[in-house]
Amino acid sequence: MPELIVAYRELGLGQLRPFLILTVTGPGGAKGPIPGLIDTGADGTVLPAGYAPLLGYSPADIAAQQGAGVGGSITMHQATKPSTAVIPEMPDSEFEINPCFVDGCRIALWGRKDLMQHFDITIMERRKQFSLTRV
Amino acid sequence: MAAVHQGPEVLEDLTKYAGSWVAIRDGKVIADALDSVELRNKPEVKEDDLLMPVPDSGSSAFLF
Repeated sequence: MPELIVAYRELGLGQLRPFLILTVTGPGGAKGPIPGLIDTGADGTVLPAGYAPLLGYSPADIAAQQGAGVGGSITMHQATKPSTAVIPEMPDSEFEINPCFVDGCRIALWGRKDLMQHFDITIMERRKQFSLTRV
Repeated sequence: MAAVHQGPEVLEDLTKYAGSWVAIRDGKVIADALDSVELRNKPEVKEDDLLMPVPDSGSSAFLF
């Protein structure tokens, strides 16, 4: 049985989408809520580059690498230190994430390596809901 | 059956902030800036506020 069912959110952007808000704590202890899309097409966690300084990452904590997006090749900045994330509605759900920060990215993506290693996710598009079940 | 979680929601149309970062509290924009650090350093922004970049075309289709 799912532990949490989340209604799609619009977040002021004009369409209902499968957004999940995680509370993320960076390696230095800085933390805050980050809204992101559930994205099975993303290998891992992708964050807009502006979140790196907010989470306390310095240039020494990230390594440039090449990746691929729908628009072609992109330079990503892979964190070399993990952050932790928790679903606010499930206070004991804390797990590590290893974000890639991407210049020009404007929406966080919760991909497979982090969130989906800890939760089974079912998209219910017709109901505009998704569910999370801890694994 | 698990409860359906509904919020938090953003109550404002963010399209007028396209390309900027916004800080949201209780569903409303309380500050905006061109970059994330400038936004975080504004005195009215608190740690628990939701800080997010606004896409250039939020109401358009997303392709990732």
